Amino acid sequence: MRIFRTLLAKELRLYFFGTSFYMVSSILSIGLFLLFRFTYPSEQINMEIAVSVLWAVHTISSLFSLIASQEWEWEANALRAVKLSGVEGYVVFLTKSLASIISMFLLWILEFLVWMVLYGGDLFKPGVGGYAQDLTAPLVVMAAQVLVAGLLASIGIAFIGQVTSVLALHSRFRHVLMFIVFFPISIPLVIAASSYTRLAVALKGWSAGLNFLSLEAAFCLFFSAAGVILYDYLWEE
Amino acid sequence: MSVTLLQFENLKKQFGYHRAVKSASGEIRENDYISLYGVNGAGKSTLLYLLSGVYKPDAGKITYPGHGPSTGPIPGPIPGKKQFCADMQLMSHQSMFYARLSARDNLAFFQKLYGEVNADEVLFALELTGLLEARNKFIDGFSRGMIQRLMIARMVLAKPGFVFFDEPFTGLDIRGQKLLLSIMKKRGIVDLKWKIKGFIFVDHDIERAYELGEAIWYIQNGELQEPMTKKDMPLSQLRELLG
Repeated sequence: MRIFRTLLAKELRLYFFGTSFYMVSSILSIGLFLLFRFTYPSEQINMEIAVSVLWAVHTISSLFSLIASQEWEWEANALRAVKLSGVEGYVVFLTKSLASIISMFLLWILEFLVWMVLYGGDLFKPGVGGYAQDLTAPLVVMAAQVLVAGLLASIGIAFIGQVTSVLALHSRFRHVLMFIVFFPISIPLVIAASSYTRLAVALKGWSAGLNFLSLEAAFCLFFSAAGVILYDYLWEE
Repeated sequence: MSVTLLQFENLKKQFGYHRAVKSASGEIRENDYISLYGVNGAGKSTLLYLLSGVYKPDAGKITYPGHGPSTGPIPGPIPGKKQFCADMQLMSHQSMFYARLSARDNLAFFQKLYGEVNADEVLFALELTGLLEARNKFIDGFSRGMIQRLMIARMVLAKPGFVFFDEPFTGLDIRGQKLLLSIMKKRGIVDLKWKIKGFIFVDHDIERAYELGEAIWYIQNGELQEPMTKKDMPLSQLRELLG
């Protein structure tokens, strides 16, 4: 547990104090939201576009998070020193994933709040969003659903990202490789999260779209197991 | 009879088409203070990285006495390797520090990996290496020499039994060189009850390497030759060999 706590504290310190990751991601997210917001005038806003924008922005900023996490290990090969101290690969994988989950989820909350400020007014005007007529759940439920979708997606993206990150780590083209490998693998997860968010924002209640949540959970389980089993192997190879 | 720390057999390592280490076999025992010689590109650093576990050999095996081989279907820390790693340090060209953590945070982090962190010891190591004033600065603003000093500080905190030195004097100023020289000559720091039980040392200064090491390893074109003593290989002959 001491090693786990030490590694996690290091990761979180680097995310929150060591790098300007949050500032860059926040500016990027807000910039992208504004770009889309003014590209689509309020009378043309619909739920599909708005939720897709939210998830596109979050996926891109999550990728930044993963690249940042990969970069500080790579700069002076610091992870090598950690591994040389006898720390097992799965512990590194789990701590890096957990730190990524925390940072991505906080970013998700921030992005969702900004998104609500920019799009919410139009989406929840009766009739404009196209869903507001058949309200079946209160807004609190919607917020909880969105958080669950965001949390599960953050967990899935973090696990996928750490596996693909260690795959790309030794390559000279690791940043390009991250885009090439990460996006195709994570697309189903992001689509599931986006679809569930769409139903949540449409105030359909908990029961709607549970299959999407199950798909997200399946991704989380699969890639967490893959990471725990394969991290050392991928690192060495 | 001294304890065998590590045995290696027919190690090979290739980078692309370049065969950096073609064949290396031998063993490291407690109280082996080895200077490793070879011309540029002979495979000295690669061999050091193979033995310290930085690189995985393409072929051959490393064993840690009383434990299994380090190769397997899913390579990972095995008990022998883990024990050896826990009592080993590597000083190499790469700093292996987190650039966006301060000097103090980096040291505290690595100390915690080996055991409980002791803030006084961290400050002592920083003072010993002349980095006390720079303790709160991020490493990415450090010069090469400062990073080398910080690596000495990490080594002092870890108190390793075995050290792999890969050109550790590079970039060090006079004060840093004196400190490292003293540690290597005295095989540790008595006041800290730290004893280095063995090292492998690579240095381009042949005289210094000859003075600090006891055994002589020579690698030629990626092939590690039979170990020699200073009697087998006087300094003049070694100079000729490397010249």
